[in-house]
Amino acid sequence: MAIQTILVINKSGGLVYQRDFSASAPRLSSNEYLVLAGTLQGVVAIASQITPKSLQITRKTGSKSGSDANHSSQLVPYVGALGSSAVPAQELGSFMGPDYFNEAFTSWNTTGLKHVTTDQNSLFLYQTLTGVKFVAVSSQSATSTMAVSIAENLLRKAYCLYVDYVMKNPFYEPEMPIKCELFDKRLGELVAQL
Amino acid sequence: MSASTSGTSAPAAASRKSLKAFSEDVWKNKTAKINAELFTLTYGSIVSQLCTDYERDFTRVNNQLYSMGYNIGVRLIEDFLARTALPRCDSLAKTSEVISKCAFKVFLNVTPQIGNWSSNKDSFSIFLEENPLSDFVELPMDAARELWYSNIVCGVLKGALEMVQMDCDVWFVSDVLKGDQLTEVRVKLNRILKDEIPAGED
Amino acid sequence: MAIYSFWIFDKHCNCIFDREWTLKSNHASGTINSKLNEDTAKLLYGMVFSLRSISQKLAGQGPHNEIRTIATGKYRAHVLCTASGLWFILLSDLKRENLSEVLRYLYGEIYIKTVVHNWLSPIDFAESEAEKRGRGTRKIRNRNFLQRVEEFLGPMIN
Repeated sequence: MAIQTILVINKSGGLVYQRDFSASAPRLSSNEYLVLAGTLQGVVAIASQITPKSLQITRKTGSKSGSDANHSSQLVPYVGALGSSAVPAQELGSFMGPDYFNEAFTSWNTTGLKHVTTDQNSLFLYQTLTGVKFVAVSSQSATSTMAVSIAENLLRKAYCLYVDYVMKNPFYEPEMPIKCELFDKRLGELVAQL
Repeated sequence: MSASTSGTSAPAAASRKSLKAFSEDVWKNKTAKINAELFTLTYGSIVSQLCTDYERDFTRVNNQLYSMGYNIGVRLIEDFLARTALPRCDSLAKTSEVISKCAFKVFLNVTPQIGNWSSNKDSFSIFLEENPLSDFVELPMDAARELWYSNIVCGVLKGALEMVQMDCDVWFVSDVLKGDQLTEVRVKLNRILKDEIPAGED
Repeated sequence: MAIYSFWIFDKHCNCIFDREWTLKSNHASGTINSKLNEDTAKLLYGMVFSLRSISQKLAGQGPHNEIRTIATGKYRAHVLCTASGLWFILLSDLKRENLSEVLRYLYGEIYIKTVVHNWLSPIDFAESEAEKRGRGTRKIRNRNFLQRVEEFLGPMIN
């Protein structure tokens, strides 16, 4: 999976970070990226509103076991090496090795937009409980469950980096554009692992 | 501090582990630690410096500690969530459990008791039997009445809960440093900030 | 494996057909061309429209970059946009990763043969300016089309 671009969108839909990782990355103006971020913010909400009625019915009448089944379907498996065989030893910041996390985890974003495929691209979206959105655009149209899991693992790791190198940087102002060299560097290393 | 789950599924590790065992693992194997004395002394020097700077106006010192805590809380919650990936709490009872068994455990390696629930279940107390912030501390006479030495904790809880869309009041009720029997922090949920819950959650 | 609903939009942003199944166990359940689905149709149109604008920007100067699928944690929408400006959309569960063949069939074998080749059915459902820009309410009602959609999709809904 070739990641072209990673975006971070704050809880109000403002673009706070955008970075290209390949020469083939789309060339959008910064204004276009701002619009794109705002659009995605809206689409996350719309997507959850058009959840099919039959799913809403099962959820309402669903017994306890039904909701548990729903929960487990939101479980994202842990993908260790992110698809690459040789994992270079990476600096994990405040996260003690061998990896940022090593278990399956529950997705917070259960009914909102998560994944879009087009003829040429895939777009993956990971949303935190606080409303921060991490978006990855890949240059392949990947639908498989595996690709989605890998992307979600990658983006949760990007969240871990954000926590260390952005949120813990005392000079970073929350909600503002991210200009942190260490975050750039670590994110680059993370994407290169793929 | 945020989140949680329906029923038993504590973290993503869902039914496999209890919240307690999960937190122990996060604290033990996944969290970098520093020397306890350095931590206690650092906090102590901050409080003492604030007392000097504010000319021993302890109300202002309390407020300043609270506001520093708030600024920590709004950032620390992200660290907590990235580390634990706990799902959203479906009740305040669950929130209280996550605060005591997971948040306090991971960040301070203590597991305070929760109790004193209000009859309508909108507020509870955290009883800190151990408080790593105030090891070695004796309050001077003039500070004993007004200063809440560990008030930063209230600010941290306030900020962190607000980021997961819970508007709460958090305050110290009593402190062993002041000669009280117990150290008690009160948390009262005012309302859930429904408009701010990110779209896409159930 | 389940299909939840099927939608067609025309080039005037109007929903000209909607079919939603509400019970997995009963393929006669649910609604056809329902007034109650008007709002959902608008939202669905809006979502696909927004994402298309994004995908076209991402493609830059390159060839077409149409939306294929859109997924949340609950369902997946499969999209087929024709050059004539029609959108065929199926909502399914997440296990269905690719329904493009099904969409192609609905377009090429069912819509073309029962609507386009049928001289007594309109192919432009907006009869006046006032029915364009998403304000139209006319739907595909011809019996052959309805019947063949049921026959084809009915077995896939559970």
